[in-house]
Amino acid sequence: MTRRVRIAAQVAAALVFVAGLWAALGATAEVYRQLEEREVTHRYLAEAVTPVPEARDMVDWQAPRAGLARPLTEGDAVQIGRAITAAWQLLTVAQDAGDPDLLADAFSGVALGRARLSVADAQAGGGRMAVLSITAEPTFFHRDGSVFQARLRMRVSRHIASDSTLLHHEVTWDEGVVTLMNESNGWRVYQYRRDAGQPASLPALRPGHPALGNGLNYFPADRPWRKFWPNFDIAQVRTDFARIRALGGRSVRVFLTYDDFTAPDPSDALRDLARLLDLARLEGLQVVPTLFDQRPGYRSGLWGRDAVMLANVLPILAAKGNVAMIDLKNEPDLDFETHGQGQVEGWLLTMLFQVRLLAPDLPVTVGWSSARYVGVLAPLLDAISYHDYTQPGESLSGLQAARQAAGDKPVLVTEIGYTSYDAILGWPASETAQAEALEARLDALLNAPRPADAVMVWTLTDFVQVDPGAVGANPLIRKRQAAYGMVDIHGRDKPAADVLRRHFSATQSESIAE
Amino acid sequence: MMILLAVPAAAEPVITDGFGILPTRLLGTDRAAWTDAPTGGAPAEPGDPATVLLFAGPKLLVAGRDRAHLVALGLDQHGNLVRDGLIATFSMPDSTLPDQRTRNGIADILHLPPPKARRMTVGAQIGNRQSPPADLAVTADLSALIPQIRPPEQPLARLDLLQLESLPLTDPHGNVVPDGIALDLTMLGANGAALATPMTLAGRAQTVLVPRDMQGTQDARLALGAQQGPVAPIDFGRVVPLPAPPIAAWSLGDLDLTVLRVGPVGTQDGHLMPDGTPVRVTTVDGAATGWLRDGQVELQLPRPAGLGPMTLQLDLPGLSERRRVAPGLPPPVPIEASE
Repeated sequence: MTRRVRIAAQVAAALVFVAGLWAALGATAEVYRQLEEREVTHRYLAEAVTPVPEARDMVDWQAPRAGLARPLTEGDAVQIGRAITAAWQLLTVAQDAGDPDLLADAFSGVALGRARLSVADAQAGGGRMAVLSITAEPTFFHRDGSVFQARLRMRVSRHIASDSTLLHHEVTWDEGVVTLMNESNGWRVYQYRRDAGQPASLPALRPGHPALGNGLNYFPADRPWRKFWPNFDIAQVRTDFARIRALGGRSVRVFLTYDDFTAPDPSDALRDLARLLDLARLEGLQVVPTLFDQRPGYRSGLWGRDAVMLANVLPILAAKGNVAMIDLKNEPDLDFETHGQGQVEGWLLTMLFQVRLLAPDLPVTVGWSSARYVGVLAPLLDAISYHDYTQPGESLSGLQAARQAAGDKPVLVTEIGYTSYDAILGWPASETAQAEALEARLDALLNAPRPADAVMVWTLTDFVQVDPGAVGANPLIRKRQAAYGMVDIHGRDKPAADVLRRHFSATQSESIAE
Repeated sequence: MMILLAVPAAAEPVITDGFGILPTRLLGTDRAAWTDAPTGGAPAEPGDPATVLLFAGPKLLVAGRDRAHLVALGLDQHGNLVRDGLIATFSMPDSTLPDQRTRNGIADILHLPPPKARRMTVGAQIGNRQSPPADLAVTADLSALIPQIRPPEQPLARLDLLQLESLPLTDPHGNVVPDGIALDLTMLGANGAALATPMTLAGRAQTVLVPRDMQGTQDARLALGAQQGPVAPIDFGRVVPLPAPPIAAWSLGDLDLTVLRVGPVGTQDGHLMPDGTPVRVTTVDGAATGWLRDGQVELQLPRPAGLGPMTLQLDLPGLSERRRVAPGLPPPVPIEASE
């Protein structure tokens, strides 16, 4: 009897232990799932608040055709240029926010009344207007400096969007006359008359399609994301690019951080961008620069500043022969829910207009987070690209969907990857698991009946510290995100590197650089 | 799921203008009255002038040199700039101004007004709409004005206050200089420092000087900005000390010194001699010098105590006399100077 009781007690204890272990594992898995969800929310909330653009001078002055009663000095041009720029910026911000109180800082008289009415109409009808560039020719200046008039030529984007749909979009070349008064708090726009609005058109796509070799996404191990450009290390970049080449890569995807390339003086970042492109050329690598990384939201009030970024970087990108294509934005579909698909599409379309204007020979793509939205803007892009972090076995269907949207255009999978973060005993992952998963993914994408035209792996190296601005502050998530590299932080090849080398050497695509 | 760029095929009509875009169904009567060109279209014609704004400046014009800039801005009843080519007329007292035509809503004229200093009211009209009046002023041209000091009358006696003024200040056009203009009066003495800042009133610059220790004839000059007038002599008169000022003497026995206090030394005008007036006392025991302050000076002589009265020579500007002084007790309290 006693023995039976002992055995029963032992069995019961074992059952309790197993049940407890099962519950603990289940709870852990649930916590892990919730952490992943919070990771997504973290990123979006950080982008939900759009800052008000700071005062700048966007005006490009032309010489007056006739003499002025009062000469326009350099100081006058700065002050009036800032006033004109501020007026259009504040109009856009006020239309975004539905707050006309901002307008009195930049408008007065007739223009103030019209701007206020436009804000009310924008709230009712969803219309938005953003000025992308301004050229001004002075036509009148009062001898006592109190009244000024200029003919403006502006590139303007207008759109109407609902939460889910872009209802109307146009980019125009506007010509008009602006009249400003020098009042107690400085120059303000008193009256503006639009004399003409010529629609801009997107040029037809160039014949032929851009080709891209397989490659990797890139940040240095110790300075990813926002640390990269302010701490640009030319020697480290050269070493890393050589490493990409040694892994069989023929291309590298880099990220141009918004703040670095829209700073009041971005000359250092622009210089380093040119150097990076030259280093890539030395290693025979094509470059896919991804623009507007960590851009704060899609409110129309920042579109003018976005146009400045394009004006800064595109001349450099266009001048270098090894830029395969521009990736206009990383994963903009992830912003649909927070910012509205219509608004995001309006922004993408406007930026595409600007790229086609400033760098007509550079191919353009958009890096969607999955194959679900590859059809958006597809007819207007040179190549279709997306990221594949789907469950095993789903890669083929995503690729097929992308092919359908692309027609005969190249289909590029510009991010795939797996973490090798091993917290304990192979959980949640390991280097071996990473290599195995990468093998399966590359096999699915590169050996499909109609394979992807190129694959780019996230990422070359593990990171010493992951930028919380990019992935959130959750420590578990950051540890996972820090371990996606083919190479660890000490420079040691992980097993996944061999997988990569084998697949890339077997499927070398024709490279523009070659 | 494939999602294409979703601009609906049956998107509702929209209207665009200089301040944005909106569905046509939301276009109100105010906004519909703007003359802005829609995208791909032509601007509308504005209405007749309903408001004329006049900007006249600079507000202060130098006679014979500065042109007034009269600028009229015309708007129709909806705030649109009036059409080009409308006739604008300008009015200014004692002037006939040619008509001008509007361009981008503005008509303007530069005009040199008659060089008579005065305030005047100007106006503008576009079509049958007049502007509110605007004020301008013409002021005397100070740039060619050389200020001169009117020589003061020879003083019969030394004055407590000396009033100086300039000759009448007028510009080449006969305009009197405005009140409140500051000039500089400089005495061309040892350091040539500016002495006063006379202000203009009723066409002259006036100031008052306190002579104090200034005496004799000194050269002075007025300046208006960079324009300097001729040098003029100013006679401040002479300072004459009264004879026989008090002299007190006492011994510092332990030190074999005798202290002399000379003063207060007054003047014939009833004042004290100026501070800094040099004083010298000479005896058989030696000499001592000093300077008056508040009319007095204390000097020390190497003379032991107990030697009795002494004869001394007292010298200062305007006074030289022999005195016999008997040392006594030191005064209990300082002597206050009297004016």
